[in-house]
Amino acid sequence: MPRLRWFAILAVVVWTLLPLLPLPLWSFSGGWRWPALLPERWSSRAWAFVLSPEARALPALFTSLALALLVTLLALAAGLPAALALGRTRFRGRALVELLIFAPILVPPLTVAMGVQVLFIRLGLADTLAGVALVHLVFSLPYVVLILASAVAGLSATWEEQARSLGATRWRAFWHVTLPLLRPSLAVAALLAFLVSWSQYALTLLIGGGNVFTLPLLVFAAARGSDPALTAATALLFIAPTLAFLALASRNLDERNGGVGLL
Amino acid sequence: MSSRPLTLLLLLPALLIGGLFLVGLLFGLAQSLGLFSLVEVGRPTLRFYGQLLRDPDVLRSLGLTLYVSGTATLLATVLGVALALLLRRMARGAGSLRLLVQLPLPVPHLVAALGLALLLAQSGLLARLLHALGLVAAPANFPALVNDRAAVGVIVTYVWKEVPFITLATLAALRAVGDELEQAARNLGASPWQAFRHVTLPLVAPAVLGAAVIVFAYAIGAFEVPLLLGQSFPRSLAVEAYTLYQDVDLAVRPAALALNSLLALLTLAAVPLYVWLLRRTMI
Amino acid sequence: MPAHLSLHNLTIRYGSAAPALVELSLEARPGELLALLGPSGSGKSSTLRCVAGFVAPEHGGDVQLDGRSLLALPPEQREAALVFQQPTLFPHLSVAENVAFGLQMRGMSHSERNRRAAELLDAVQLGGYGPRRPHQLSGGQRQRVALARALATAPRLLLLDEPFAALDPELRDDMRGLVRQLQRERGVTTLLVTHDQAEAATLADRVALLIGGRLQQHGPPEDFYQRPANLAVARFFGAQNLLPATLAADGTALTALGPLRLCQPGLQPGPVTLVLRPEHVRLTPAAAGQPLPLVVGEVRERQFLGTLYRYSVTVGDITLVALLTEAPFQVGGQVGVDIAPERVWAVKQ
Repeated sequence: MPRLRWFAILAVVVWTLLPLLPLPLWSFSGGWRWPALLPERWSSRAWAFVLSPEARALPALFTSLALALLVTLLALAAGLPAALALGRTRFRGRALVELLIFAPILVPPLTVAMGVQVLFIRLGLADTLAGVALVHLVFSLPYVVLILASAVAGLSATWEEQARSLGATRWRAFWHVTLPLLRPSLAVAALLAFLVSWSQYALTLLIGGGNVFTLPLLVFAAARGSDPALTAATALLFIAPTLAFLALASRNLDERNGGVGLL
Repeated sequence: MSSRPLTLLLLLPALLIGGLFLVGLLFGLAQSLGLFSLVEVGRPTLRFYGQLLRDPDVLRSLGLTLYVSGTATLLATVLGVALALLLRRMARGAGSLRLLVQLPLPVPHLVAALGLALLLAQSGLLARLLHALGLVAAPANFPALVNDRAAVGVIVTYVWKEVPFITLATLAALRAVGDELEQAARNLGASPWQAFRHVTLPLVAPAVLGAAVIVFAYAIGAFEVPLLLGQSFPRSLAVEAYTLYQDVDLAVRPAALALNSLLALLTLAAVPLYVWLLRRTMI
Repeated sequence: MPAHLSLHNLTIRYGSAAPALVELSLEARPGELLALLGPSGSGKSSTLRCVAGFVAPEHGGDVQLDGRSLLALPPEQREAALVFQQPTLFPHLSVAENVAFGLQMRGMSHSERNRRAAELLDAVQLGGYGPRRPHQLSGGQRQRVALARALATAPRLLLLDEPFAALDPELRDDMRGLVRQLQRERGVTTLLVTHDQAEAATLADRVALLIGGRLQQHGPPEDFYQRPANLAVARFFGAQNLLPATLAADGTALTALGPLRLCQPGLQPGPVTLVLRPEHVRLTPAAAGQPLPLVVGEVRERQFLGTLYRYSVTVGDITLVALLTEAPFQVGGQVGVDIAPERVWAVKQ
């Protein structure tokens, strides 16, 4: 039985790591023909190109970062109040509100983007960062509300009552007690909102029209080319910040969640 | 404590954003009926839907999309739950394995697809490994797993990406349920399997199904993965819709949006189911 | 100056359900510890939450402190500090910051806050624990911090909501002693919500018993044992010997055990229930040569309770419980039963 378990663990490790393994290998390869297991020559050519101004990777990185941070901020700003309402109060029409807020989790971004594009062209929001941020927000918000609403529902009303009985106004009880208690959930919600925006390709392409040039657009362009080394280096540049962000957020979560990072 | 106006005020920003979502859907629907067309202004018509449903290629796309999404969801759910149970049973090393298992979560689908393309291609890393073991003589002897008819590459990408998602949802539900109930069942004479099957599984089912619904809906509407790893015919619905939408001939745009609306309807149908599962999970 | 709390005609209703509290009028005198006692669902917690400002009473009710109505004030301006059953220490703050929380809300300077927090922590015997985090403390220590935090603001009212219920029995006694001592020293008018009649009796100056949202009786703890207002009060205080009787016009109660001449003033003739405390039921050897007892019964059961023996004796179809310091009677034997009429308390049926 233990042997079976060790086999299962080994399978999980290989399964998780193997799909990512070709990326670093290819990104440093200077020549890698069949059937060599490792690149025949190592080279930093792909990285040198990706980091050169010619590749437009660094401006794309900056655009992606600015966009994802903006979306995260807005998603938290809109999502936290909604989560407070949904997590604490029963009201008529609640089911409809939930339906509207959570629907984007399931409905493909592309279907909404094609409809919104006509409207955004008329409003002058097409091909602008603001327009792209708005549609990213539509698909980030439900995750934020989902995480925070269940966190709020799990917080006893006693915390705020305790603070109020000690002299805190409603606002100060929220600021000094409720908000700090929600901090781990806020970190998870921020991580998800960031990831949704960061990974978005179709929405950015349609609404941004190539004017808002983010990293996924660059990765896709590289993938369409025929240089695996370049594709791999671009892809790695693309996921580096998300891995860093995950490491950061999961450390924040470790204190209370015992290592389970997301959900 | 909260009054009605306050509740409304708190919900307002989220509702406005939800409104944008709704407007997008409705504008898409209107265009699929021939309204707001850039080439002709006409009365609403269902003819674009008629065209689509008579088109055997579209039906083939629909079949492919359902096959890919269904297979990927089933595999990801079974593997994800199994992995969660493995992690729960582990005494030592669970922490680090749990962290490793989460690795695919922040990796965008696009990057997962690229990595798997380099792994699974006929001259990819896997074929080279098998060659080194003497199992594969030449790239042509290795089965086509990318851009192939059975869409193996697409399915594997989804499974790789979504297994941790299912696993974490299951782990969270398992933790909420706790061990006591299963121990009580064991104490009443249930075998480990019976205790899991009759006590734990029914209790975590809403959470697992909720996550599975998300995976299924995502796979139906996703666009990057089949575009990179799918074959060129038949194409998945989303790729088909996008290609039509980007066509230089603006007259086919309503058809693209009709296809799009079908996709939206397909996934929207799952929304009440999902919200219902969500309610059962939260309680 | 200790505050004088008075509740007038409080009715509390959640939604359209039956009211949680019905027309409660009650006073807590300055510096007094008043226990609100009752089973779950009796309305005692609703009363506390109403005083704290988290529930509003229906029209016509009022909560007054030194004659001024509190109803228009939000919870934070009522100066009524709460201690809950679970010590709600804010986990993101240190122990000292928790104690200083109320002072920070009042805008007190950092150094002054720290000084007061240290002083209060000393008072609850946790001096030096200030820099620790709540999760580093034991359950009993946390509850003491919660008490220190409530007292730090020098509130006019201290509201204790089952503060001992979550503690281990040995810690519970220490904590009760600490609460009583600090409450006396500081002279803060205190409401204690509890379901434990022994706790109410040992801690409180006066007790108010609520059952089903209605005030049944209020007064010093002894009254509830010796002079219960009605059958429900007697039952809640563990009266085990309830004897139906008919009261004659001359004050004689006719019971299945024979006539008893009661000394209780102000009784109306008619059907009553007699409350006999087990410690007032006397058992005597039913042998010849002894003074004649009221009745003779049979010993059914004997239990050793640690310091006392509990005897069940049947007389006809009536079972009486008696508490004795010694155990001279055997199960199955005959025993004489005597009841001192001046110890009998009659309540209306």
